[in-house]
Amino acid sequence: MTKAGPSASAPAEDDIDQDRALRAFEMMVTIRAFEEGAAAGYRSSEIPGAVHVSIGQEAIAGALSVAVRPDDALLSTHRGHGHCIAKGVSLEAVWAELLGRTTGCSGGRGGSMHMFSAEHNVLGTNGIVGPNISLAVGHALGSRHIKHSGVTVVMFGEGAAATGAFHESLQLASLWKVPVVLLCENNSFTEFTPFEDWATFSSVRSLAERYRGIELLQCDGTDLLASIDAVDRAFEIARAGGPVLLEAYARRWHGHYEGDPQRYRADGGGAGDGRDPLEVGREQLVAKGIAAEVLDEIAARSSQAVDDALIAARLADEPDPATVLDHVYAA
Amino acid sequence: MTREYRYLDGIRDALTHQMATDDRVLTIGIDVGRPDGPYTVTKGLYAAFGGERVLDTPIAEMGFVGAAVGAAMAGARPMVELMYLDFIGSCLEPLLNQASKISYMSNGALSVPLVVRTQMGTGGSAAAQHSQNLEAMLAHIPGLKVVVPATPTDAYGLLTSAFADPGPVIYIENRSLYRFRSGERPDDGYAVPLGQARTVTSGDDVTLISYSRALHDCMTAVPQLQEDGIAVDLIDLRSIVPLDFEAVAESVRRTHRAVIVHDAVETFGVGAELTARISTELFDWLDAPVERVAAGYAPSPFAPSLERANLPNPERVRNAVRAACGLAAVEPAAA
Ligand SMILES: Cc1ncc(C[n+]2csc(CCOP(=O)(O)OP(=O)(O)O)c2C)c(N)n1
Ligand SMILES: [Mg+2]
Repeated sequence: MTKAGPSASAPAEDDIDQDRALRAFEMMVTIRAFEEGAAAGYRSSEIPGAVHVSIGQEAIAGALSVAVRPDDALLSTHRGHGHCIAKGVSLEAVWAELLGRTTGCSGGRGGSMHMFSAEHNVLGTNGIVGPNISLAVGHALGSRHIKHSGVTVVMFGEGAAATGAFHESLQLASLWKVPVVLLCENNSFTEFTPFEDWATFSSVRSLAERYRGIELLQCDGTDLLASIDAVDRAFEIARAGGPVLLEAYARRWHGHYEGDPQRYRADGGGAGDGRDPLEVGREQLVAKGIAAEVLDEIAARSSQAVDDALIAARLADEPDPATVLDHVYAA
Repeated sequence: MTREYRYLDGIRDALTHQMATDDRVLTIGIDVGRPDGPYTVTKGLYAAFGGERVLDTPIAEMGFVGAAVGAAMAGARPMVELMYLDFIGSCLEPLLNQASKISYMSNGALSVPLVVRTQMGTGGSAAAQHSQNLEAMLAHIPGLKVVVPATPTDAYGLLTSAFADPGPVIYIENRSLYRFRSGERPDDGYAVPLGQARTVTSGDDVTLISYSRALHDCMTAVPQLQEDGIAVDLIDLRSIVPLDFEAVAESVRRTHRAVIVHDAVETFGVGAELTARISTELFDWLDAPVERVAAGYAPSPFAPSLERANLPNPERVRNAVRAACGLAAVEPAAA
């Protein structure tokens, strides 16, 4: 077994800020390394099926990793590798899932867009835009009824704000006042269309304003410390019992999916389109007095962990064809 | 007391018992709480269990069916009421792509113990958008179970089992049966296992297979067929998924003839699946082609004359059985 991704457990009391920021930074660079590896795995055809990476958006997942607790539940999207890692799923289990192996978090039955991990309360990345928000609101309702201590967080893109599921779910979250964090990553692209070309509203938050009792937050999702503050605040509100929507702005550096020719994009995508959250985070931590060598060491260690996990995942078996009909029905 | 028991009471009593004995059970849907339910099935629940467990929703089927899926994943036992099966068009997503697949996609690690109660029913001119029998469409989705009770005690017993099931179960009532009476109130917690067909009448000449409202047309036809000299093995499937094909096969091996009756359109329906399986798995036992009696391939019409023309009835059942037995059709009685 390779080691798990950076820990997502609660911070120590002393020097909480620095420690948490460092851990969020480590998560961020780990996810960057993972996503670059996933993009390469797509190019080399090692990964079957579609791959959507979150490069440019890692500060949000980094912040998530230090705010979320093991007993919180996570629902994510088609662009969810980083969210799963931030929730504590091991790098090896995520890799193995992308490769369709038995040691994958879904045993190879899910793939990139359908990753589950019951032990980490990861209730799915999702191939469909919108329904995860409804599931999350209901999960928060069920959780409160069953008296779980945790809250439910659902990740979604600004594109989901156009769906009926978003609006119906907001209506219900507001009516039922459930402990849910609605975490929108507004990465300015909805598939191949820039936000401003389709959205007839100024922000996702502005839509939610109409539903009473949902607290609204925003942050620069390329700014590590701002993201930590905002995500912390969102979880605080949900832990106090109420629904909250946080809109975090970032840029999607890659195509919608790996292999996307991005003809719709003047700059062709890639680094430089927007601020690099890793650079921003690095400057912020250096300004906090952390030595650059420490950050370099974290980056090197993270990238090594990602590579090791991939090697381990490759060694795992492919699922036995005889099991293809297993688990259609819960036991 | 042995007063005959209503289908609606079977559903309501089973649900009320679940609410009373399992605090995890939630009732969710449009007008299910304070208004006591569009068809009064949930009558009394709000008064007994309060708004924390009996949740009236706005008209947001996609939202609240999806929410019920999420609540089930959190360990609650939600029962969500979809007022009409036709409204599945507004909320198929959480069933089609979420609830039905979560066990599989999680490699068996997660389950969605959800009951969706809904109702269908043709007759009464509810017409194109309020009288579709869509059970086959749901049965076509691996991961869902589909239950179709025809009698008051089965309505009770199958709902009990739907709650006990670890996965999503679509429990489809037939509104034309709500006031149908038979039998006695079962004991509290009475359960009928899913996937276990019931033999309604026994006979060795032909196997007649049905469920839900159409079963009652078959029951009307059976004594007439008896007069025709045909002894009918009448099977009520009770659930489409799981399908008790073993019960069908056992019967067809004896009778060598099969007729399937349902209110849903014939094309690509439950009868088509049964016909295919009987034809391939029981080919050597068959003495006649499998017959089907079902609605024509059209939306449900409004005008009573059209509606009658498109639905199964005892006469059509009788003639289909006669055909399977090599007998000519009896003439329809003069109108
Ligand atoms: C209901 C539905 N419609 C369309 C799609 C195809 N699709 C997949 S992702 C996507 C864009 C989503 O954009 P956004 O929500 O902003 O997320 P992002 O890709 O930017 O992370 C679309 C249209 C889908 N998966 N589900
Ligand atoms: Mg987007």
